[in-house]
Amino acid sequence: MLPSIAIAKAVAYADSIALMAAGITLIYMCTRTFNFAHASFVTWGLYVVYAMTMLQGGSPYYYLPLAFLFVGVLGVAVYMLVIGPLMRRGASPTTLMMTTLGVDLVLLSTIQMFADFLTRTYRLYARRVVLEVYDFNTLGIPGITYVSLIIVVVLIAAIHWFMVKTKFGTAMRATIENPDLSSVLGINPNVVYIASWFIGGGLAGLGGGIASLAISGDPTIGSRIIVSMFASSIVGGLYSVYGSVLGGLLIGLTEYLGIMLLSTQLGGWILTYRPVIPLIAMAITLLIYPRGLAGINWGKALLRIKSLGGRTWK
Amino acid sequence: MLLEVRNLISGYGKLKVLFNVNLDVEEKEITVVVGPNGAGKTTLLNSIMGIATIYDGAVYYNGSKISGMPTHKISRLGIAYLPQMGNVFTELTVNENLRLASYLLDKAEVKDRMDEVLSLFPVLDKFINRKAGTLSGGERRMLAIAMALMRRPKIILLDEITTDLAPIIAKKVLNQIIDLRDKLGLTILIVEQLAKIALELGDQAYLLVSGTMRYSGKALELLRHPDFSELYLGIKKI
Ligand SMILES: Nc1ncnc2c1ncn2[C@@H]1O[C@H](COP(=O)(O)OP(=O)(O)O)[C@@H](O)[C@H]1O
Ligand SMILES: [Mg+2]
Repeated sequence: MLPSIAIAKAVAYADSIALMAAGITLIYMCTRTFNFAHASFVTWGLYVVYAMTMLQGGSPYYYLPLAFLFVGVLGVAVYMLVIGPLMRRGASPTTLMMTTLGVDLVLLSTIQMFADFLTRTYRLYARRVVLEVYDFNTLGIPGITYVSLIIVVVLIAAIHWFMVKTKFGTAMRATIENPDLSSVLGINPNVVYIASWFIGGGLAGLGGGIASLAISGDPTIGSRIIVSMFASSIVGGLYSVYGSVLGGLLIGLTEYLGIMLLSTQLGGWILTYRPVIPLIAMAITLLIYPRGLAGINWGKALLRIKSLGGRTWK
Repeated sequence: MLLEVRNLISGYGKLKVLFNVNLDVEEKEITVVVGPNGAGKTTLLNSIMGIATIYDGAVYYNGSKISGMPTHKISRLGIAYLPQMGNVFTELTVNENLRLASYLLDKAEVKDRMDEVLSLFPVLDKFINRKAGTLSGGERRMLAIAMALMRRPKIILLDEITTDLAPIIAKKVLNQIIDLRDKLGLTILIVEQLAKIALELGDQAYLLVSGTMRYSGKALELLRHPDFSELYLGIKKI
């Protein structure tokens, strides 16, 4: 029905969406900001990998850490220059969200400028980024499928370790729950907020870097997939990084494979409606699990699945 | 004078709650602020800690101005605050709560203080790895007190600590705090709706009604004031 290469690509795409959604959730949990600038964050991550691969050579994979770092710093800058000052003046979550829309427009224009710069100075065709040719291939499956899956698993384990085992991670969880109380105990909430924008931004940059190998890119790629990122974060329950990763995998796979099936069945005209798929997937998930994937009692769900299994096998 | 509040006008956003409030806290004394529900007692402590909005007036600690400073810096001066509500992290374990409360101490100190507060509240040791959200009201209050004591503050601000405690435990906790005052030279500012217990313990007392100070003087004098109930209810003014 579906070629295995398509499934492999869908997995890589879903992995990138999962990382982006984890960033959205982390930033929202810590600073109550729905970050629409995530669109440009992701695109910047993609362009960092693209430009470095073109200009420095080597495998695009070398530049994934740089994409994380670059966009992480970008996130810190956005927090320090825009979001932080507004929060200290008591801005509402709605104001913060609208502000990130403005930030996104500014960042989008910097990406356009950067793409033009690459074109003028280095004669690169920077308005259409395709890095697939630089990927390796094992058993007929593109390298990015393996690598992105490993990155998601390792990163989630690392974030879990960081949040649970380290002093700063504990302070972060505390500040998420009750910022006033943590500052009463002498913790500077600002440091926690900065960290959340660094990690959240970094995850967006990494997601964008992975997307450069999974799908083709252009300066507006982030704006086109921002719907999927938010849908994943919401499906994940908004208050759980793990939930957002599950949400990202669910939404990414549904979207990628769904549009593929639909376009082969119904024709190419359906491709325009691609963003509707994540929204429908989100609506259906929330109808079944109103509190998102993180709200599910997984222990109970597994038991139920086991008992169902038992019944059919008897 | 360790802590001074001068002509304070404060509140939240556009809502003013306190009007021209003055308060003096003498070192190593127990100062008590009593007043009915909604008088602004919590807001007074929130103003000292830099959580509420200050429109006018100032707060001084050890002679230097602290109003306008961010909360974590005020805290680091040695001021501990035990809020009335939301005073433990419910998603964190008892152990994690205590460790956070000693965030700025080094490892060896943390261990010492941990042993110290756990011997004060042995019940917490039993629940050390349980989430604070699963504790009863009284246990949570004990954890919050333990957290406030972890850093060995110079002054501790206590907001209605007796509320969730059984009367016997409330007395015990208050007596322990007085012990600490005597042993460690702790200065204490207590805010209470239930005036009697607190006034019996306190040195100086203030009566706060509708955001204004109606009385200041010796704690026992306020308790024995012939018009105490009228004053407390705001029917009568001095
Ligand atoms: N966080 C807040 N935001 C807005 N108003 C508040 C807040 N906390 C308290 N208030 C208002 O301030 C007034 C005084 O409250 P509070 O200081 O809690 O009194 P008390 O501690 O003496 O019972 C009340 O009218 C209350 O509604
Ligand atoms: Mg109160």
